[in-house]
Amino acid sequence: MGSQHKILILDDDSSFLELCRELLSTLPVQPEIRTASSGAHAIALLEAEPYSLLLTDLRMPNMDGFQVLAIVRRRFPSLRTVVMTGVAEDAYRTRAYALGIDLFLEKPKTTQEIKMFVDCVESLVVREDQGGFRGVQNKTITDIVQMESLSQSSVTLKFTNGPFVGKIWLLNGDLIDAEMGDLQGDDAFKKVISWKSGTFESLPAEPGRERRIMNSVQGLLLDSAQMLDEMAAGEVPGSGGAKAQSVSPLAALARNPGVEFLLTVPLGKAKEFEHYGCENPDKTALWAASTVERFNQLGDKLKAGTFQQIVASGSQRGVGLSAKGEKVLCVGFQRGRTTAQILETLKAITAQWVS
Amino acid sequence: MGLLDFFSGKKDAPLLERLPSGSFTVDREGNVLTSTLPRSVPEASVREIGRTVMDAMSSARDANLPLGEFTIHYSGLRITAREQRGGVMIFLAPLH
Repeated sequence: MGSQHKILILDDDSSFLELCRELLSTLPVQPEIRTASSGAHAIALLEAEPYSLLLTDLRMPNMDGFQVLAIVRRRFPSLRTVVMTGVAEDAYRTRAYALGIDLFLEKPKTTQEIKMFVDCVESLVVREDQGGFRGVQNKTITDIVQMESLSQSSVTLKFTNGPFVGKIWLLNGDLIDAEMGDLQGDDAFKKVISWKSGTFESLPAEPGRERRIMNSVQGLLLDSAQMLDEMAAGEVPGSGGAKAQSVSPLAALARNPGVEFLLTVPLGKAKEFEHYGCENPDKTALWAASTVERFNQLGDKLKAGTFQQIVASGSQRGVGLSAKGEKVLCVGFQRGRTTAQILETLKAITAQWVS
Repeated sequence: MGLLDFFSGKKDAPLLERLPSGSFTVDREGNVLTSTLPRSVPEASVREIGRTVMDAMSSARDANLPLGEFTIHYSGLRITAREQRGGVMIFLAPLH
């Protein structure tokens, strides 16, 4: 594992977020911890870059934990999820597990519970490296298909990855067919084989099934392994080594203290924005560009000198705006940051952004 | 004397305008209610500042960014605006 593990914690209680951040930053794998106080912000962060694990509360205003988990299952099926809640009722537990969570934990109160909580999170993060399917933990789909093929089994393998279901049919160890959504045959097989985790079931064989895969198991597994290697190396599969688009450079700027989101937008071209972790990037980009333009014009009229920054704060968050040439930088800050803190961090981020 | 006139050059010297210092309040419609600004500050400029700040606040709300306090930093002036019940209070502080 070359890259650092990233854990996202979602809770509307800021003091619990800080406690979790402190506890989990002591893990031996030294994960990078990010926090979100609303479901919408958590989704925006998950869209910005890949995470190893999401820890979420259930009871939250506006978007509750179940709504967040439903969206996460659909959009980020391979993300491991943990519910940590003060509500320990069985109905909640059952519903959460039905949404495909990995673990349901009560919020820790005693030293022993805290230790158990940290251990559980660590084991999940470490397991993320290894992949594996429930039922055959620590075995990849490649391992499972190879085992069934070598033992000349006739079987239907069913894999579930979040909302997606994939099936692979084997007859006397030969690969007959595969299906995943609209995909069939070789394409479906390659798609399913790329899944790292989920659930696995072994169903009875279907001897009468029409053969759609003519390649050998080993041939297809080799093709798929090459494709997965290319993806792991950050290349676009089948592109001859072209690098896939890297994570937004704004993600690096978001490491500054208290930063919730970042957005850059050219003046007069509000639709051409880039963002990291912003809940409403379209509206925010439009507002940021028009506000800087507005105060630029006001500064000219008042002969107040060069526009430098705007620091604004509200009940939910703080925002800083600065500009360089024809481009505007908009930074969202967590609630509770003082105007002086926002200004200081905004200046530091602007300097990094410009350089 | 002609040479001295050239160096003194009073006619071409830029007029140094003093930036306004003080505070004022505006209601939701942008009308100036109270002001401690000197009379030399044109009323149109005061209304313009109030309108710009109110527009920035209301458009922020439209973008789901409720922001009740703004500090705008220019190289020569700092404008601080605080939303209050029924309007906005604005402080102007020249920096030089």
